[in-house]
Formats: sequence, C-alpha cells, structure tokens
Amino acid sequence: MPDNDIDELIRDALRTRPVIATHQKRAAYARLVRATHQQSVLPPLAAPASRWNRIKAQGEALGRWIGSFMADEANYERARRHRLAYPTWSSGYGGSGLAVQIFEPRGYSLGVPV
Amino acid sequence: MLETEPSDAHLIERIRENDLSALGSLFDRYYAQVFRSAVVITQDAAVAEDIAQECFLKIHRYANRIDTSLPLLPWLYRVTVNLSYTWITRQKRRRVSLEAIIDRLISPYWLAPDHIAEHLETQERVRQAINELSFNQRVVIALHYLSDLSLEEIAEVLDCPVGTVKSRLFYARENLRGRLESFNWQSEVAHGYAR
Repeated sequence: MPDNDIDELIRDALRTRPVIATHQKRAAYARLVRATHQQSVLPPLAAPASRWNRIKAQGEALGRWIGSFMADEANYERARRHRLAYPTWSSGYGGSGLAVQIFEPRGYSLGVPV
Repeated sequence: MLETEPSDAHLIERIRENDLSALGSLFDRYYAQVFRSAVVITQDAAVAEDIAQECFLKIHRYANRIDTSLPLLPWLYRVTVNLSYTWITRQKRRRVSLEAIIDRLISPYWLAPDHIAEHLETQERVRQAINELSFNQRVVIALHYLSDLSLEEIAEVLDCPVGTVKSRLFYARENLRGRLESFNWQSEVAHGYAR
C-alpha cells in the first residue's frame, strides 16, 4: 500500500469522528464555567533573574563582604573582644569620656581569686 | 467592514482579569481540536471530554503564567498529551464499557447502503488499527494527521528532537500499513476472494 494511500486513510478516519454535537459542547462549556468558579486565577510567577542580574547581585554581595572587613569596625571589635583575657563592661555617657570598666577574674586558682 | 477576531494573547489578557467570556471564545476556538486529539490518544470519548475540560481549566488557572508571546495551541496540545499520558499510565487495565459495545453494535455502517457501509467500515478499521499503536505513536499520529502539525511543531510540543518524531511517525505508519493489509487479507478470506 503506497504512503499516500495510508496518509489518506488515516486522515479520513480521524477527521470524521468523533462528531461533537452542539448540545454536548454546550454542556461541556457549562461544566467548565461551573468549575472555574471553584478556582481562582493564580498570580504571575516572579520573573526569574537574568544572568547579568545574577552576576551583578553576586558581585555586590562580595563587595559588601570585603567592605565589611575594610570599613565596618563591628567585626573587628567582635574579634578583638574575644582576644581579651577579661570580659569588659563599659558605660559611656555619649562621648563625654566618662566610662567605667569592671575587670573580673576569669577563673580561680586553688580557690583563691587571682 | 470585517471584524477581526481577537488574538489568543488578547483573550488570555482578558482571562487574567477574570473575563470568562474570553475563556468561552478560546473554548469555541479550540475545544474540538483538543477533544479529538484526546480521543485518538486515549481511545475513550468520556475521558477525552474530561481532559479537554482540564485543559481549559488550566488556561483559566494559569492565565497569568502563560507566555502570550508564544502561540497557545502548542501549549494546549502539550497539556492534552501530558494529561492523556497521566490517564493512560494510571489506568491499570482497559475496561470496555457497555456503552462502547452498544455503540459498536449500532454503528451506522450496519444500516447504510453498501458503498457507504464499506467506507465506514474501512474508517472503523483504521481507527481500530490506530488504537492498537503504542502511546507515543498514537500521539504523533494524532498531532500530525488530525491537528496538521509539522514535524518541527510536534517536536516542540513533545519537547523531543525532530528525528525522534520522524522515527515515531515512520514506525506508526509501518505498523498501520501492516495491520490494514492484514485486515484486508482477512476480509478477502472471509468473503472467499483470496486465492
């Protein structure tokens, strides 16, 4: 059987069935409308970041990390505090220069405060 | 003056604003194509009706997420094929419903004049042969012969290389040829024409 005949037979068989009656289509649409009332339109997805934006964001994060070492003293202070033998407590009066520092012993040697 | 029909993209924009009449327009436009494709793939009109429903419900639900810069029909076919596949894989064994048997018994070719009856019978045999193909081959047959999609468009719908589509179509056609020739031979034997 030549290819053209096969093609024609397949097309002919598929195109004619199944017949969709008007009432059937109308019922299907009514069912669809009822079902749409049971659901809502979902919100759009957040736009995925473009490659350039991703690289830019990563660069900025790296910059902030390096900057925190260069300019932000908080990290430095935190690191320095752990190096001190005694914990410190200070109460400053807004730059007036008056401060109290209490040095406590970190431990006892044979029950006697060092 | 001719009134141009609104584009699919425009209708989807309206569905995003919950305009159900726009969904109705898309339903009118594509229901038959979706339903018929689902029938060919699942071989079950009731299931195909459910699949078509689900496709249009998805248009409504995902209206905000459908890329309107791309044509809608390939998206619809993809959803149809995926839903059909899900249905087929869930179906453990195929049950022939009483309605299907009755439908076959009262098939119009029993009542029609000879030449029409013969034509209807041939059509039924081709459909039967298509039903016996594997899922992948049936999908390609439905999209190519029923929906008139090119090989490239089918590849896009199925997200596979064009070569794969070409090969599935080739084997589907070969299988059909074999089955139809065997039908003809059996029919000739049954009617005493075989030598």
